[in-house]
Amino acid sequence: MFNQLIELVKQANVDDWKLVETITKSHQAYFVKQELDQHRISDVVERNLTIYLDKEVEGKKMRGSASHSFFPDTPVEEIKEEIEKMKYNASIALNPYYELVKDEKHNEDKKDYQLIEVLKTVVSAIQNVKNTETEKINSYEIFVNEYFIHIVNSQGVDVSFNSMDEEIEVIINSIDGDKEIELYHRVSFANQPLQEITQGILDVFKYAKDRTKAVGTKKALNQRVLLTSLDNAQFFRYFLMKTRTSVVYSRGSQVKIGDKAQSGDNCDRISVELKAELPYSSKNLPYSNDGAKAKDSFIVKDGEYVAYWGDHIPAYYLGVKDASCANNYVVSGGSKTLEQLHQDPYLEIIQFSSFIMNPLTGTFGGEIRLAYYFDGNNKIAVTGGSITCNFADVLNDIRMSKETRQIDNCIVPVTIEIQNVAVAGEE
Amino acid sequence: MLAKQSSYLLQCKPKLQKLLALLESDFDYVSVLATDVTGASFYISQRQKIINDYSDGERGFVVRVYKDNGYSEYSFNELGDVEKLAKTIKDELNQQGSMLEKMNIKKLETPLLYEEKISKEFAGEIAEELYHLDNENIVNKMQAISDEVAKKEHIIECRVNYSAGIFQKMFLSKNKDLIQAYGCSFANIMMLANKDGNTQYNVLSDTAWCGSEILDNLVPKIESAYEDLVAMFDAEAIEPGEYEIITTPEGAGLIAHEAFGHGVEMDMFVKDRAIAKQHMGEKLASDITNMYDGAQGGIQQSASYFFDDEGTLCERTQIIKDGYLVSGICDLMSAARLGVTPTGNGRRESFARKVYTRMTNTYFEAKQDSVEDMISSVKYGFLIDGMNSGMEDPKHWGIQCVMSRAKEIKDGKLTGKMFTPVVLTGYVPDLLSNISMLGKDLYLNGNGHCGKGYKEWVIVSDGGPYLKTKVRLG
Repeated sequence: MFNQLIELVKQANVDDWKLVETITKSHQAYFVKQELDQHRISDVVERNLTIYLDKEVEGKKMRGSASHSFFPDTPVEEIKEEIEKMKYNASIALNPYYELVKDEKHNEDKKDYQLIEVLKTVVSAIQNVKNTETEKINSYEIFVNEYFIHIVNSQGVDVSFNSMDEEIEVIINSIDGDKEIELYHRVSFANQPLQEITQGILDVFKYAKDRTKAVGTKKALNQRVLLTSLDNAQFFRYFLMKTRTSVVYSRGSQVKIGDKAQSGDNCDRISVELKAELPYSSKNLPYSNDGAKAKDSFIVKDGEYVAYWGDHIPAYYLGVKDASCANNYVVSGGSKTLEQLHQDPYLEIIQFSSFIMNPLTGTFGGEIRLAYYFDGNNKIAVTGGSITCNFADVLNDIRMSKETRQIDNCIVPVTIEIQNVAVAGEE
Repeated sequence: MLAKQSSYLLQCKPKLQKLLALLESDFDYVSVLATDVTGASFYISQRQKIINDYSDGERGFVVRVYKDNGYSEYSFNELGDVEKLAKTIKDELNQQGSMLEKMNIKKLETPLLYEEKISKEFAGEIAEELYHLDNENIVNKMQAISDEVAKKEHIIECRVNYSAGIFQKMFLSKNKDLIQAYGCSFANIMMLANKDGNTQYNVLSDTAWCGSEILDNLVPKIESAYEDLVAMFDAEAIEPGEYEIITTPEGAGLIAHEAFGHGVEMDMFVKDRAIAKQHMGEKLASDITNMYDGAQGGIQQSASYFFDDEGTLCERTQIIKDGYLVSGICDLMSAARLGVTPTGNGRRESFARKVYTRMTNTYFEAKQDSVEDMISSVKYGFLIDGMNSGMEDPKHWGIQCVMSRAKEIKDGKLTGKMFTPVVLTGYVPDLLSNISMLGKDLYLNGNGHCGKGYKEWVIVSDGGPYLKTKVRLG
């Protein structure tokens, strides 16, 4: 059907076209405690065709586009009808002209990742976790997926590649007398060693135990806060969103290259680099959906925005040549060791109920599921309450740990220090 | 008019029946859900115009089978040679099942699903327009809205979205032969403003079983939404503390959804992940509080349908009655495990994903209070508006709702002072027990998608009347 779609779109009298075929195979297993709830397999093919029509409007070259997903078994007559509808839609949704990615070539044969074996490995890793007297696995879900993506366009792009990822969602309970709590552990990765999957869960066991003993978070108006959660990945995504071409072009970000993200000398300067490949990342895609090659690129260097990245069409509009479309990122470590960061009193947030990061307004924060409060002498586990901050208020005195950690497709400082935070909590 | 059934699904039906027959020789239970969700989506802003397929569109199948006390599923979207397909499904599921069995993994005991014989066709009222949208007219209408808003001071962009979805599904098993069709329109207007380098936004949205006139319904609300947006630039951060609040219907909906929407999803009862399991029949809300969830029962919204993704016919479930927690919501497999009746809440993100217990249209019942009376009853507190996001915690009954703004109320009057953003947190029974007033008019909005944890996104609607309670804000 892939070739048939190309033949039909070539006959359709359009100015350009792009066809993206994605074949996704997924093997999944669901457990309640260590018992099998059910298992699933999914084998799905999607072919998304985009057509482009050019038109001159008041002396200006314009381009309209329309996309449609064709599923297998779609009859030829229906394909033809849909292409005609797409042509009409493209003719009434005109945008300033842009060019497609050209002449990129890279072809791989479809790989078989032996997903049943991969699933077996991940199941083993979690089955290897032994419940303690007080900490237990409540339930878990495992997804192992392989993708074959083939992108062809009318400007000479013909790239195909394979990719795979794994995802686990594990719910952990801890019991202390009558009190039972749960913590949530969800991670994505690719080809991660078995012992790291197991260790990730055991780390949560420790936090779960502490949460059973946690008391309510106290209200504070000027709290020094340490962020040590998996949401540090989300925290730094703020910089990716501020520099993403689609966000900048649609006015969601006003960042200009050369703008300073931070000022003054009282902070660790932030550097963010996009990486085309990162070992164990679930996002090692060598090409974008437009067929552009992923490449390494700094977007923030020493606190200054240095490059836009992302989607090809808004990049064209913004005049950005060779914008990176890499999906991994590395944030440089800061100036303080973890030991130094933990010397003075702090509220260290280990898990949020749901971390929010709004790149439009710069707001971030959320309800505290588990944190540690250290008053200079004693450290206690706390829960409940929330923080709500804004990047504009914290970046000029932010500190980060020298130590970094990998969270799926990124490497980020283990701990971020922010000052003067208002904590909503018990009076 | 009534929605038409999918000709694609009807065309596939003989092949699917053959597939079921072929699989029945190897499995004790076999069913197939077939989906054909079509439609269009329009995005018009000052800088971009896009017309595409409806974003939740899909066309595919999922087979569920039962063998040796366990269930498994196979999702696919190519029927092709049915005999070959049946063999692939059997071979691959058996291979995966054997692998798990060889690892000595115990199965969670689940009885064979019981199904009463039923053959029925369901069609919802649908705007005829959804079958032949006048795309040019819609684009022009949306452009006019965007252009008008963009003229206003501080506005840097106005994004207008309209989607029309036609939902068509068929469920077949030995005893069930069901098919349904219905349609829904989704619209939102996002105003983006910048002042002195700060960016704020406000979103107007609506959903209904109607056509593109839904866009027209939003237009009269633009001016006041713009005024709120501009006021947000002068808003202060709220001092953390416990306050009396009044929420708009969308805030009430978010509370309903996060509190005893997620809190009573009964697949969480199977896992002992929801504390509500131990508190059924207890008084957990104030006397005036009644709460419902249902894909049917007089509500025609974005999450209304006739049968769920497991072929269970839908009704409305009363979750809270006069303050008492009286029922949860349940999918078919969880119901079998718990020994209760399923409520038609078994839903999938798509044919390629698993069923979970999911909410549909979740809402507080309206009562008799006027908004004016509610505001005048507040000594010091806030009118909370503009839903951003929420999070459930069914195990501990924690709740987190992120709202755009809080308008200050002092001595029964709005002062004009605004605070933003607002994170509402608390303990669900406290929050519900503190509900002291409920407005007269019920309003539901279904523009959002709800996740199970952080995945499995399905369309839901939620709402209620204006609602007064007491919570912690930060």
